[in-house]
This record gives sequence, C-alpha cells and structure tokens, in this order.
Amino acid sequence: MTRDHEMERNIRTALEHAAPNKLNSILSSCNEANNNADMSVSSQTESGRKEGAVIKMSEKKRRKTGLAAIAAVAAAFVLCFGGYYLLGRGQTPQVDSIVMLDVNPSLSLYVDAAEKVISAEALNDDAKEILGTMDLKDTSLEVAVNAIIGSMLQKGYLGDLQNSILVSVENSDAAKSQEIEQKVSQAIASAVQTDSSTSVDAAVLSQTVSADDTQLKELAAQYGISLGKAALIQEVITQDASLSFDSLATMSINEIALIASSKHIASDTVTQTGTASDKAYISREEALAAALSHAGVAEGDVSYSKIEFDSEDGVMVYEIEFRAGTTEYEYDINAVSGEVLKFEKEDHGSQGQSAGQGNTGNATDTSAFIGEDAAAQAALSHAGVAEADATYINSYLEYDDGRPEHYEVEFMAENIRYEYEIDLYSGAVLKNSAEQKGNHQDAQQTQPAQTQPAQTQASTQASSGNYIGETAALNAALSHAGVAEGDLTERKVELDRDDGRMIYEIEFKAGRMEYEYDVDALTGDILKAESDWDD
Amino acid sequence: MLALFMAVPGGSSGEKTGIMEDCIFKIAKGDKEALAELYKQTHAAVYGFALSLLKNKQDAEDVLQDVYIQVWKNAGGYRAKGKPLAWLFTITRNLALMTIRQQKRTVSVAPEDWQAMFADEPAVNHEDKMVLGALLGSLSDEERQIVVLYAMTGLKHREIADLLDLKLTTVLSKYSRAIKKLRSALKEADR
Repeated sequence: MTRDHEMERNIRTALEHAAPNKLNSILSSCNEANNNADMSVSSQTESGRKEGAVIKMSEKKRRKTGLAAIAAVAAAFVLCFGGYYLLGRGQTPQVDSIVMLDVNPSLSLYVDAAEKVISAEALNDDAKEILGTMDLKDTSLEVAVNAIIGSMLQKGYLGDLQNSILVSVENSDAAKSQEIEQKVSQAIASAVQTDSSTSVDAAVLSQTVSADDTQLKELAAQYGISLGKAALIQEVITQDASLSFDSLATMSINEIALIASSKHIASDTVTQTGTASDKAYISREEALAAALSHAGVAEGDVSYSKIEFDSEDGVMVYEIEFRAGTTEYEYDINAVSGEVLKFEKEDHGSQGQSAGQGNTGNATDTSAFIGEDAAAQAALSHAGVAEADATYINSYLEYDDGRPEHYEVEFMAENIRYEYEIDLYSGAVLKNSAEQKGNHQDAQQTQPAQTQPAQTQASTQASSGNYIGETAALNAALSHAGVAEGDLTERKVELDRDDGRMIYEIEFKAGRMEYEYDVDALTGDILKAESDWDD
Repeated sequence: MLALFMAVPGGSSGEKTGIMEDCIFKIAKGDKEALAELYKQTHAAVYGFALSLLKNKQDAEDVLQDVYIQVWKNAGGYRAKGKPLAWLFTITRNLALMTIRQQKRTVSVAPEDWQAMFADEPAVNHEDKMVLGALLGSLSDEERQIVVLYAMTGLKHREIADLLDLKLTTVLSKYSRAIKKLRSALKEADR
C-alpha cells in the first residue's frame, strides 16, 4: 500500500480547520461534574453538622435542669462517639451500600447502614433528567426508589416498550447485599404496579456486584457505563461466546435482557422477575417472513429455522437461520423496520457459496455476471494454483452499499492464503494478495492490480531475495537492543510495507521487557525501536 | 509501567504516545491543564473520527464534547498500555454509536451539501470544503474511517485494523481504494 501523504495532509488540514473549539465548554462541564462530586461530599458534612445541631439543642436544654443537662451531655457524647465510630470506617464513612439502577438512565444511590440515602449520583444525562431537583437525602431507600421509578415512568424511560430495570447492589457483606437487592426489586415492582397511569409489567434484573473487581471497573470506565451494566454484560457474554462486550455496551438493559432470553442464557448471578418487553419490535414471524421473501423461499420449504435477537453494531436485529433443501440461509433483519441488513447463503449441495450485504430494495440482476465458479477459476489461474491443490475455495459476490461490486475469491494452497477481487463482467483480476500462514513468518503482499503505478509494481515485484532476510533483520534488532537470541521468550518477524518502503516489523520479549523494531528490509537500518516493561 | 524510548529516527509518534498517556494520568488526578493539553493534541482526530462515523456536523460536535467529559470522568480507569489514542477512539466510537442508536437514523448527504454545511465556518477555506465534501460524500463509511485514522493519527496498520475490527488486508486495500476515490472526486469537483 502506498501512502498518499499529500492527500492525508489535506484531510488533516481540513479537519483541523473544521474541528470546533469546545475546550471552554468541556472545562466548564468538568467543573459541574466536580461540583456534583462535591455535593455528595457536602451532603455528608451537612449530616455531620446535624449532629452538631443536636448537641446545641441539648445545650439549651441544659439550662433548664441540671440533671437533664448531664443526660444531654452524655447523649451528646454518645452521638459524637457514634459519629466518630462511623467516620473511622473509611473515607466515605457513612456509605454502607451502593445501589445502582440502570434502565437507560443510570444512577447510583449511596446508602448508609440504616438504609437511608446519603447521596444520589447521575451516571448519564438521562439520569440527570430523572434526578432533576429531587432531594433524596435522608429518605429511606425504598421511598427513593419509588420516587425514581415514578419519575422514569412519567418521563417515558420506562413504559410498554422498555420495561427492564437492572438493580445492582454493592455491599461488603454478601447477605446484606442480597437482602437489599430483594427489597429494591420489590420496591420497583410495587412502584410500577401502583402507577395507575400505565399498565406496565416491569422486568427486574438484579445482581450483587463487587467493588474489588478492578477489571470490570476498567471495562465500565472504558465504555462509559455503570459497573452494574458492565457486570450484566460480562455475565451474558460469558454464557454466550457469540456475543461481545462491544456490541452490547451501547444496548439498553431491555435490549440486553431480550437478547439474553432469546438465546436462552441462564445465569446464576443475575435474577430476573418479569419479562422484557419486545413490543418495540416486529414479531419473530414477521422477521422470518421478511427473510423468506428476500430469499424467495416458501415457508413450506423450510425444514429448520432459528430466530434470535442479537446486536449488530448496536442495532437490535433478529438473527435468523433457516434451511431449505440443501441451502442454509443466514439473515440479520432490523428488528424495528424489518429491513434486511445482512444475508448469507450456503449451498451444501455444491461448492458454491454466496454472501452479501444489501437491502431488499435493490435486488440486482446478476445474470450478466460471469458467476462464482468462473471467478474462482480466474483467480486460481492467476495464482498458478490447480483447483485440486486448493484446500478450500470461497467465491462470492461482494457488495458495497447494496450494489454488487466484485467477486471475492479466497483460497488456500500450500499454507498460502490467497485473496482475490475479480471483475464482475470480465473476470479480470482487480486485486490480489497472498499471505503465508502457519508459522511465525507472516509474509504479506497486497497490490492493487488494476492501476499499479510503475513504482509500486517494481518494489512489489522485487523478489524477497533483495531483502536482507528475517534472520539478519532480527539480528540487527537484537544487537541494537543488546539482547542475546537465546534469551528470547517470544518473537515475531513480519515483512510489511510502511510509507512505501518494505520493512521488517519485529517484536520480541526477553525477561520482562518487550521490544518492537522496524528494520529497513533492504538496508537493515533500524527505523524504529521501542522497549517497554511487560505488565 | 515504565516506558523507554530509544533513539528513534522520526519516531515522534512514540513520544506523543508518552505525552498523551502522561496527560491521562494527570487528568485522573484532576489536572485540568492536562485535559486542555490532551484536547489540543487530539481533538481534531477525535472530531474527524466522530464526523466519519456520524456524517453529521452537529452530532460530531456534541460527541467531541462528550468524549472529553468522559475522559475527565474516567481517566482513573485508564491503564497504561501505550495506546491512549485507541482508548480515546473507543470512547468516541461508543458515544457515536449511542447517538446513532438514539436517533435511529443515518443520513447520507451529497458532497455539495457537505460543503454548504461548513459554509459558516470561517476557518474552513475553499480547499478544505472540497476535501470535506469528497471525504464525506464519496467514500463508504469504512473507507472514510480508515482514511481519517491514517491521516489524523500515527497509528500502525495493525492498530487501525484492530480498532475498526477489520482484517489487516481489508484496511490496506480499502485505504488504497479510498484514496483513489478521493482523487477522482476532487478532480471532478475541480472541473
């Protein structure tokens, strides 16, 4: 690949000019975030002051009778001592549990040992709207939950279409965690039922989470979601490896609950009461019908089908698999619109396979194309590989924005993986690459076949005989690092193209150090050297 | 973790990585100047990436702002892996996807309209508008993201592939194709 530095520079300049200056508003938002944090602190000092107020009152009383005064001083001592005891337990002394609620609004309630709310923290903008001017301090946890759920119903965050709530409780005492988890779940259920304006049946998912799980905290921070939601996603993807954290992080609790239940995920850590609402989506039957009509398959011919909710780049889809005759189909159907987002079919009766991405709207007439088999032949003959020597051959139409663009042909022979792009009509090779597989040496060359500038061609055609070779490149890096080859625990040497020149990318480990080198493939010059402690 | 950078001809990207990581650690301790420095170093890249995902100027500006607020809140969760940019872009992508999901829409806009969209920006000159128009109007989503990441960051081929969850070969070939498309779109616009 040849880098076009001038074009890149133009893009850089344009984007630098176009990027707005948001620094001031960012900094002031950060101040707000700080103030919110300060507020929770100040609410604690305020309650501290309240204890002071009690003492003052006792002092007034003291003037009335001597005996009462002694009692009052004693009481004050107890109060102080009690306060001191609580303060002595840590930096945020009174917080006994943290109760996190996730719907789409995400918030945390900090609760003391008597289950009174100390402070409430909004974790996203939706939650800020919910908490608004609500003053939850010193209310009981159940009353606070009731008020919050009421507000979510009123503001439409909870309703017929999205009825799932995640409750996550963090308390060092596991039994106490479970007790609170149950209490809050019940409070939510009753808050939803008693709200006469809606007829919503809530689905309540509840779990306990541990503050010690630093890996989970890191994930939550990285994705900007609550610890509770991160724990839920973690649990779901542990149960079903086909799901990824990435794809679920942007989904709402309701969507995650739907995906989990449609994939029959059973969890030991998450308790669920009620059913997540699927009213926002088309029915499974409608989704299947959309896929069948796109595939041109009659329902009667389907011998097997599987329909599950899934997340495709943060979009709720029905993932549909079905079989008709010897052909297996796979579809992703937008669960809201019924649009075909992705489809694939594989005919087990023959070698052919076709896959593509596109809309139902622009079904294209493919009869003028050369066909998948001819495309495969064109690629094989270009590579000089006999069909019999290929361990597998995939040939299919590649779509871009719903239009067929070229045939993509992939095959493997003698540990080399070939990838071709073949013209739809002429069978000409548009692009090809070959990659050595199966050992540490991962040589790779990609070349646009159609418009090769002479220079690219020359350097790609230059046989690797002109290069110094992997051993010499590695030795150059080792001597620069002052490391003996015998000390290496891991190594990787790759021939790669960077900035129009061929380089060896070298990575190795020795002891606790990790090294990364770029070595010029022609001269053996060290172009880049980095070393790092491996943690 | 201790990072050492040896004599590296033209290896400024490594140094920058160190500076950025340093900023994030300071931000975690509440250092606003560090946030301002990180913003200065990276905001054009973050904006460009957000714009290529969202294809909407206003949304990209909103996401740009939210990214650094997230950084401010979550810097404590960053672990030094020598990939501060990848971290920033992951946050950017998540926020952008959230925006797309909330709006349940993606728009595609003709190159002329893109130029019009930046008409009120005094800093954006005629040539910039042409480039933005070509970038946003003539490339597929993936091509645009790839080109922007190449243009705006010192990330390696493999890092870009990882970030976009694409095969290395796909990234390389799409880059080439995108550059070709940009050249012809600009030539067209020049006429």
